[in-house]
Formats: sequence, structure tokens, C-alpha cells
Amino acid sequence: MQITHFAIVVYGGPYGNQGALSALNFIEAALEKGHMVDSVFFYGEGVHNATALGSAPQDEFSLYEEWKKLGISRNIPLHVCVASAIKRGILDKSNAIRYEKSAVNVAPHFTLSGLGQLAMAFHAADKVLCFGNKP
Amino acid sequence: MSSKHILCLQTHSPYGNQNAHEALNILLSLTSFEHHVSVAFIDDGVFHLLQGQEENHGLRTLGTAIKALPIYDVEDIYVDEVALKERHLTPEDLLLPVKLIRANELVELIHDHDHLLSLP
Repeated sequence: MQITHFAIVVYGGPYGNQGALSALNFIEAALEKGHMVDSVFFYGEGVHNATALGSAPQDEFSLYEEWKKLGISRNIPLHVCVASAIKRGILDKSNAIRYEKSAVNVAPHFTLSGLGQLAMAFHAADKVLCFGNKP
Repeated sequence: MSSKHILCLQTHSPYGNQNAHEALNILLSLTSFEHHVSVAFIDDGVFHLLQGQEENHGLRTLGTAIKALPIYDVEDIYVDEVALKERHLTPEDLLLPVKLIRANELVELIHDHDHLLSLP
């Protein structure tokens, strides 16, 4: 079987629409079939997936936990667009200092990155898939 | 590192959210990383190209940014001819010269590019 390298783009925020969940389901299915997911890039409202402060009720599916599994157990780089994130109050330590904000709220398995990271993903990927761009 | 031919697809109308603004940032960053970027406006996406977009509530003016696309090496700008017609628009209503295409040509375009990126 030919292995495909996927780059994933998530435009959809957590729970607001189907996008983030569909992305997770796709990634799970692709990995199960032996394909590679090189990276996930969160853009626009998608950056809210990176919050360290979200939790789902105990009897509900937790998107946050699923991203954590991908980032930590599967070691998939989870990049969050820094410009989108700062506008929406998703901050890592260095940006909290830079913008003089009192708290940090990006979960540790996410990295704030520039749009260049998305452009780089295009260089290496066989296919790029976007999720959650319908309003 | 190989530069890729990327076709960006804009299907959404430009106002009511931040998406048009953020979509442009994607286009411009892809060209600055040496990709060959084309963009196709279909469905309500054609509204991005309308003349007269000079105020945007303090945001960067969309009209100015669209007009600057060729300067940023986004030279192939495609517009769905039927989408224009359905919205009672003609190429004369648009901010800059575009290449009119039909649905079957869009399929060919997609085949001719390495990647297809739906814009927000």
C-alpha cells in the first residue's frame, strides 16, 4: 500500500461546528490505515481547540483529551496560528509576557507558530485537508 | 523542499466574520514561501471581488487587498462565470481582471494543481 502524508488544517472551533470532530475522526482513520499525519494546523476559530481550560462533562466526548492524545501519545505536531490565537486570547508564556497579559492558557501539547508553518506543511504533504470552514 | 502549485478556493461571502481577512493572510504567506498560488472564487466567494469595498469598520479594506493580489504573485485569479451570472454580476463589476471559468474547467484546474486549499 502506498503511504500518504497528510497535513491537516482545522478552521472550526471546539463544539461550535463539526469541523474539529471530523478532523479527529479522519486523523484516527488515516493512522489506523497506516498513513502519516505530518502535522495539524489550527487557524481562525480553530485556535480555541488549543485552550488548556476546556473540559467536557464526564459522560461526553472530550475533544481536548483527543487532541492531547494525538499531540502526546502519537507525537503529531499541533501548530496554532499565532496571529489568530493572540486575537482570540489564546496565549503561551512568551506571548503573555510580550503582550503584558496576566495568564497563559494554551495547552502544553500545542505550539504557537506562524503561517509559515502551514506553508512548510504544503512542501512536504501529499495531501492537505481542511476541516470546519463552513459557517 | 519543493514548491507546490496550490489552488485556493473561496466559496464564502466576505463579511459578517473575520474569515475574508484571515483567508487573505493565508494566500499571502503561501506565496512568500515560494509556492505558486492561484485562487478561484466560486459561489458567494465572488462577492470578494466587487468594486466599491472601501470601508470595513476599521479593518484592512478588502478591496485594496484583493487588488494587490497580483503584486504578491497571486496572478491566476479565476471566477466561476455561472456564480457571477446567478448574482446578476458581470466582469465589469469586479475590482480586477479575472479569468472566467465554468464548473468543468474548475475540475481540470484542481487536477492541474498539487494541492487544493479551501479558504475560510
